[in-house]
Amino acid sequence: MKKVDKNKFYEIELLEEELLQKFETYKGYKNSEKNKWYFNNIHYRAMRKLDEKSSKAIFPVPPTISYAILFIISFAISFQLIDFNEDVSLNDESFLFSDTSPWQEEEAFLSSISDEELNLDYTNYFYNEINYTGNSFLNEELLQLSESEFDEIYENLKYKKIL
Amino acid sequence: MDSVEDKRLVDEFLNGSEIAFKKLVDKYSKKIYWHARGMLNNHFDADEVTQEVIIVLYKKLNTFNFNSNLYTWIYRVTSTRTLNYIRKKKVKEFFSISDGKFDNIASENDIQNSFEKIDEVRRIEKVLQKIPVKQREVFIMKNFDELTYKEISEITGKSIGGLKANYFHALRRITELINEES
Repeated sequence: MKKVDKNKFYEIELLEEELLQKFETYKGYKNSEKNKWYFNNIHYRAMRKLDEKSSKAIFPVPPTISYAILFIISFAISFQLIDFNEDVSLNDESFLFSDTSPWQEEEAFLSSISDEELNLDYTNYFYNEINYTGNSFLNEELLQLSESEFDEIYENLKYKKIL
Repeated sequence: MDSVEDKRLVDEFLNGSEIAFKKLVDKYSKKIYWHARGMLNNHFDADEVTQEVIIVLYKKLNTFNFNSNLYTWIYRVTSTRTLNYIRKKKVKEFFSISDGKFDNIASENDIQNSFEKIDEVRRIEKVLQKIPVKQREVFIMKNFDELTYKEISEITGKSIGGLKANYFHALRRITELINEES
């Protein structure tokens, strides 16, 4: 252990010696006579800075108090802008889903209509459809069908959920 | 002898003598400045710290109770202020408040530019900036300020063993860097 310390001590000495010459210039710079002017004036400059600092603080308010005042002012302003008495209820669906309410209304309306209530005239519907279509071949074919055949077609379409 | 004179000057200052304070500043300003300069690498920042330390002395000398040497106390103030300045500078650089424009001012308004081997001085200062702050501090105190480990320990509040290790690492690294550059 002592050997290690001795080696370290020897290495430090060597390194210090190596650096000594290189630091001579730096030390010469530090102790140069040309620096005298700066060090003779540093006292006055520091005192002037102190005077400036003390003259600036005409109304010395600690930062914590300044922040507290700022917070109170901003809170007071926000209180004026926001009406805290306005009722806000989370159970109010129209408030929560105002954008989707037309859809909800529509769905409710559709579900309220039962199939029985729909009394559609399918025969006339098909005739009307045939009249509209431009396919004369299909028109003629359909026109030649009997009532029972028509009913069969209707049932097929209904069964396959096309209608 | 030194501490007796220091005590006399402090007492005179506390009794209202501004001349006594000026004498104290004249005595210690070089040490304050060159410590800060070694740590901060430029005149602009070192000047700021030096003035700040002088103001602290002016305001707080009444709290000094001579339990330790005055120069130890002054070094402690200087060391703390310098480290705080480095921290503040790093934060400013992180938020890009400091855009490096003061670096030019620092080199242009140096304490003296007419020094013959100014380039060599700048090279050494650059090398010092390349080692960690803790190592740099102990290296400057030991090598340039010529303080003992005991004094450095009193100033920094660190153990002598830790200081020796830091000094050894700093010494090695600085030698390497200087040899690399030359």
